[in-house]
Amino acid sequence: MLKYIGKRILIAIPTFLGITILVYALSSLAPGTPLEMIFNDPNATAEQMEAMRHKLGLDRPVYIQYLNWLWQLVQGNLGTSYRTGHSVWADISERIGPTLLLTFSSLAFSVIIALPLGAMSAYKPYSAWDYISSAVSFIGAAIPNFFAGLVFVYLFSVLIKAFPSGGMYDTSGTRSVPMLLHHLFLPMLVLSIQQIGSLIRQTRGAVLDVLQEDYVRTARAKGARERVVMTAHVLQNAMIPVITRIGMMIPFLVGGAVVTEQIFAWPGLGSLMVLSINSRDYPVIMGITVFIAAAVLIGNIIVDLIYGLLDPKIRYS
Amino acid sequence: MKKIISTTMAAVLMAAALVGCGGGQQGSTGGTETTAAQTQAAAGGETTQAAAEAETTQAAASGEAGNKTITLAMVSAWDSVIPFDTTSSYSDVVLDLIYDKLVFLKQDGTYEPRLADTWEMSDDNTELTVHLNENAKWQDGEPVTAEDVVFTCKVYGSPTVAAVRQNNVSPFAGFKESDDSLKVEAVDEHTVKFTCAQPTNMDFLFFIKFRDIYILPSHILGDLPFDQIRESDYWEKPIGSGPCIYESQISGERMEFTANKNYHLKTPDWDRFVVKVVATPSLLSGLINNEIDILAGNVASLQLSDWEMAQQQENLICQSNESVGYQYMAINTSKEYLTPKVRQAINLAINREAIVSGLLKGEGEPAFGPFSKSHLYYNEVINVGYDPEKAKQLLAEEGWDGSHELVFSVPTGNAIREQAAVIIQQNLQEIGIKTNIESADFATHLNKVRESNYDLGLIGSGGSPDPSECVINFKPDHVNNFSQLSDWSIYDTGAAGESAFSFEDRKVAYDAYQNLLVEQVPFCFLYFQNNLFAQNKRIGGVVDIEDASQLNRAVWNWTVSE
Repeated sequence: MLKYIGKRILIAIPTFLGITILVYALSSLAPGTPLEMIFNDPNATAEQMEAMRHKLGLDRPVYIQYLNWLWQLVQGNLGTSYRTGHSVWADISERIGPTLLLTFSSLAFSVIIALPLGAMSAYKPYSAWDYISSAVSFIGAAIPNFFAGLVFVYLFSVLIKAFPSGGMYDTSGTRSVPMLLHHLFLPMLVLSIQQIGSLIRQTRGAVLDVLQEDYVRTARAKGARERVVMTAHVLQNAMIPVITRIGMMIPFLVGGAVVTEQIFAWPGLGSLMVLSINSRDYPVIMGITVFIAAAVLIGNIIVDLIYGLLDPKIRYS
Repeated sequence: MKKIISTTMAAVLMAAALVGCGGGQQGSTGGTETTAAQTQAAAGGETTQAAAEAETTQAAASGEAGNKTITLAMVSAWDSVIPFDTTSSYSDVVLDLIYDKLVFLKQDGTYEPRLADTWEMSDDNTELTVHLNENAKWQDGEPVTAEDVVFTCKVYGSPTVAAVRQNNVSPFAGFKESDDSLKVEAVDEHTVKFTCAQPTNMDFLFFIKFRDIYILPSHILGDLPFDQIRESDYWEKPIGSGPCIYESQISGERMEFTANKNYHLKTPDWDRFVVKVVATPSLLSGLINNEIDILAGNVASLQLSDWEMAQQQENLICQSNESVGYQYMAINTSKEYLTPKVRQAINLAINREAIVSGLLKGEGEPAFGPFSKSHLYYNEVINVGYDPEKAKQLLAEEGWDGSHELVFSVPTGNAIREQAAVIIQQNLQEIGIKTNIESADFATHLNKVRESNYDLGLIGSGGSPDPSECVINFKPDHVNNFSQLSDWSIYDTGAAGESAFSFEDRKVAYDAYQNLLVEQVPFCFLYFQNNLFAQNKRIGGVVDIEDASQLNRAVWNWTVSE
């Protein structure tokens, strides 16, 4: 097992470097420079812009800029944001908590709703239950986040006044976990809608496939109770594609939910990434890339390991 | 499965607890409100006696923590609280609360005392003497002195600091010669003398140069070498002399303040002030819900589609305010086919009324120059109207090649402007000019325009009551010479207004400047868009048109009724 993990980490290093090279090249070669946004002021002069270009090292070839950045990264330094002047790590670390809270709570909510719905609709296909869950999943998958966000704000915030329309806390000056959860609910719900839709379909398909397997028929023939058949034989085996699906959500989860964060003024990594791209803040763009790339690579390894837990036939060598 | 679900739920709750308790990244704590003195101590900052006194005075200044809170919304986040290192209007919103500026600028082109009590210009217009308000105090209790103003100007202009806003002190003698060469001197404890390198108009100094100069405390930062000022812990929890005492922030979401009850102009009626970042589509719902009390004017305007609904809300006061900000289309004069006559034809072909009545639903005004009709320096000559027949005639005289397609660069992010581009494209098509709209994000667009890789390009400006605001765009060696002019005549004529001193003399200069704009058409000015402003009725004392325009807000006059 350890040998397998070590091997996967070694393979992940060139993948990680490839990702950073690609993102650095794409962001540096895109038209527009950080200088356009730093000096978005009529009092600025060409001389000032040239001095800043030199100070930031933007007058050097892109590959030199990249190597300098990589050397700093190896030393544990993600650099300084052009936009805020803060260390990139400080800027990112302020945003990680809200992003992980929003995205993982949304994932948990989606799993809790989608797995039983998907399994039930597969267990009783073409029943009313199946049609309802199919309708829920299609509607969920078809509604764009920005639209759902605006509709939910209007319904729950403006009409019913049950939830706040944005932010993490109210402005009373106190901050508490219940207040945070109250503010979290709407963005979490909006973010969950699409995930629930796709997870229901994935779970339904996987459970349907497993229900046709010989070992399920055997278990039933042996007189195993239906609950045991479903949980021990069907659900456990159906989880492999579902876990893969959840694994594929990881980049989205750690990268932040850009649209939802914008609508609900949720201060996560997604909105920071948008601000940074708009202002060509290369160090922050790269910092977030490093974070997401590392999370994806580690996430993939974890998903592979979970396969082993779910399916004893899978052996790591 | 149960294990997975319960573990995930536990993780979410734990994360919520962690975020909840650690949410106030800088100095705030979870669950309980922290007094200014406590957070000041937590910030670590200075160890001098002044700082020790600061804690007690600041606690006194903010008084007993009351519950009268004002929440102001803007649509994007600030980038820095270092005043000389940002050009962001969003940063200016929070900077204006923490720090003081010399005067309070008004939309009608006048200004009132703020940190400066009185001021006078010498007869030869080279020496500006400013007398500071003797009651002004830093939020740590120290008096604000002339040394603070001198120190601030030297930091802004220092070659070592190389501030982004360095040119805000460019009119003064000794600019950039050395860190100490700037001719800004303390005459006595509360009097500062600014010596200009050449005779300069005082309004120009106050509106264009001093607008972004926020006075910094020399008693805290003055002992630091200039190259270490940016690294000071001071910026973690800045102490200003403005109406709001910085309390904490959640990066990109909000900045929270307590009232500076010792503010020298007036003791604020409210106790706390919160600046929140709210996306434009969510502004109205926040206002209806009482989550937002007031919009930040020029950096938070309601969507036109929300305007009717906003006016129907019983808890809101809505006001469509004229703005000095305008949109224009730069024309690349370096392209040989875009001759002055072709540019004049383009200017005549644009149906501005259609843009204002159709896209802006009447909440705006057609722009033919940088000044709206109510501007003191407006000259009727610029109003060329909409005349496609004359435009066609001009193109025929010039032998325009109808098969030529112009590159029309349009920045994304402003829906009205993007739709205006389509109307302009149709208008130009009607007179026989083909265009190809190339949309790009603002940084890309600005780079294209600056690098001359375009024919027509849309840009916006915040405008100013001072007529000199747009002149710099016509300076041939300037980075904002978007129309790639090589002829200095427009700039020289406009710049003459900066060194004219009576209204009449300035009017002559700016009339001539507007005449040249009509003849040479480096820009087609398009429209002034009204600011769709709204506030909760419980907030009083807001003079909307002034509190929403010139990057300053007289929040000390605002009141809150419970």
